[in-house]
Amino acid sequence: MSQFLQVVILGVLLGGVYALMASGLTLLFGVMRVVNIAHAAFIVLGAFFTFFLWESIGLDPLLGMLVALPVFFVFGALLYRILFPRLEGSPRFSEMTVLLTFGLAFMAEGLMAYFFTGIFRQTAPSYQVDAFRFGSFFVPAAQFYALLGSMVLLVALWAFINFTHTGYGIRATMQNRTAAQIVGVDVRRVSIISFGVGMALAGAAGALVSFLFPFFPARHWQWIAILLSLIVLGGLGSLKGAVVGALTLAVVSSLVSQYTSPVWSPMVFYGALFLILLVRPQGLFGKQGRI
Amino acid sequence: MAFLELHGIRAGYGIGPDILTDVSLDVEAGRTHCIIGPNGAGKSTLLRVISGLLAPRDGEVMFDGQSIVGRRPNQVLSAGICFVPQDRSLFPEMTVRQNLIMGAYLERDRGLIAERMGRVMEMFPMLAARSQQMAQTLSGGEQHQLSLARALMIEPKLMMIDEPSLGLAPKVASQIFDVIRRLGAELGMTVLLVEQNVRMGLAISDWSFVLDLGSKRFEGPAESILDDPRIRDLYLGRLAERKIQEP
Repeated sequence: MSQFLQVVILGVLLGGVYALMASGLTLLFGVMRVVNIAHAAFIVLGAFFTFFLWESIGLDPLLGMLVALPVFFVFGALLYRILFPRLEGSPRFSEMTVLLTFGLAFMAEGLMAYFFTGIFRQTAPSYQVDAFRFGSFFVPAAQFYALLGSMVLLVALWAFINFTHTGYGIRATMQNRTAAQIVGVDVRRVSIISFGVGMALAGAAGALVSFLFPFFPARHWQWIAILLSLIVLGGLGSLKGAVVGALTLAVVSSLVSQYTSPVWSPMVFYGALFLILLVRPQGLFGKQGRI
Repeated sequence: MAFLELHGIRAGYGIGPDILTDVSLDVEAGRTHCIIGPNGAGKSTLLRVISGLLAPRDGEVMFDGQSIVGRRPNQVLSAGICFVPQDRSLFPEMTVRQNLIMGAYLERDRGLIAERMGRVMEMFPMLAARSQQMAQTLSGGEQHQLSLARALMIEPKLMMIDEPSLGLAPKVASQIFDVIRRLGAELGMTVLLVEQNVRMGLAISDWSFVLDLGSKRFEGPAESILDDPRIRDLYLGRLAERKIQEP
């Protein structure tokens, strides 16, 4: 029993970080129907950004996260401003964004491989090997701090969306784009800000990932598959869904890894993806026929 | 100079054909205008062009002395033109109250918002009773009232309403029409209405425009336009032609 609980604890720790990784992805889909295949590539970029700061000036990755947030926000806003307006108004907008971001993912991967080579990297702050003990359970310090960082950012995102004027505009755009335009929401501006926020979340998640997992430029393909499966489970565009989906799948995959073999744990994500598309395609918190 | 002037509007969607070929018309301040015409005449498209949701391919829109063509919807709204589309376009997962607050998105003065909220709730007692209910749980008629009420939250100079009676029971529709009539009669608002139910639409209007095949055919006072022989040609004549073509 205590082993079971220990595995659940580790699963929750992992799930919290997955939730942050997925939050930007689901936000972009919810606000503007952008399927950002490059999201995980930008997470890896965030990891390399943090790694670069760590290697060059010895900046702690948690502080690196605070630097990554504004830098990636501006990067995202500019990227949207430059690349996306020509897709707006296309009747196949979402499909177009898949192609565009697929290309962006390759470009990001290629550039990272050029500048950092393809070998495994990881930041190694002092707490990376520490652990806290609570009775018979142990919590790795790195994962604990990563979970805390994720929670702070997710709460901040939630508060931003629910309690600010721009946040109201974002929620309105998510629920009904035309209605948002009619009441005076500048959906172009909302889209630019949302893309910036989504990118900032990717950068921040990358900073946390930099000391949790070894990473290399092509790592993002594996992550984007996991992230897409958990936001499909939660319901595309739903922040709550992303969190619930992330926690559920992370815990289940940890259990599967413990009680069968680690080989089977990635299967959980793909299995869940197939199952949810068969049984409840709109996901746990998604709306039917919203695409 | 008229309050709202359209000159030679040509518009369509995407790479599709022109829906509006050449529309010019003048809307006078303080009056209620009804656009009528057969299906596919381009009535709703015209309102979308004025509201900035659809950029025209050609033509000029002058409002209150300045050109508003090419402006984005939020800029058109801040100029004073509000649009109530036929699908009601509410925020389904917000309460009635939140929907109304969203209506005043461009207004930053909280005191003013609260004041308008009070006035709107007075006008629509049903909304006051259901202020904490999610918009998606309202009935069709109630949703219509909410979308009208939400538009009033910005206190527009010109209110454009697309097919207010669509999908409503006759009794509910006449309540909605009564509200629209009061906008003009009591609040002195300028109203531009599109309505399939021609008789009801004209009954509350001062002036009428007749649209067909993407351009304005003629116009006249709302109370006498149905007597115009050209109306019969438009509705019945085309119908008869079609009957002949499709044996």
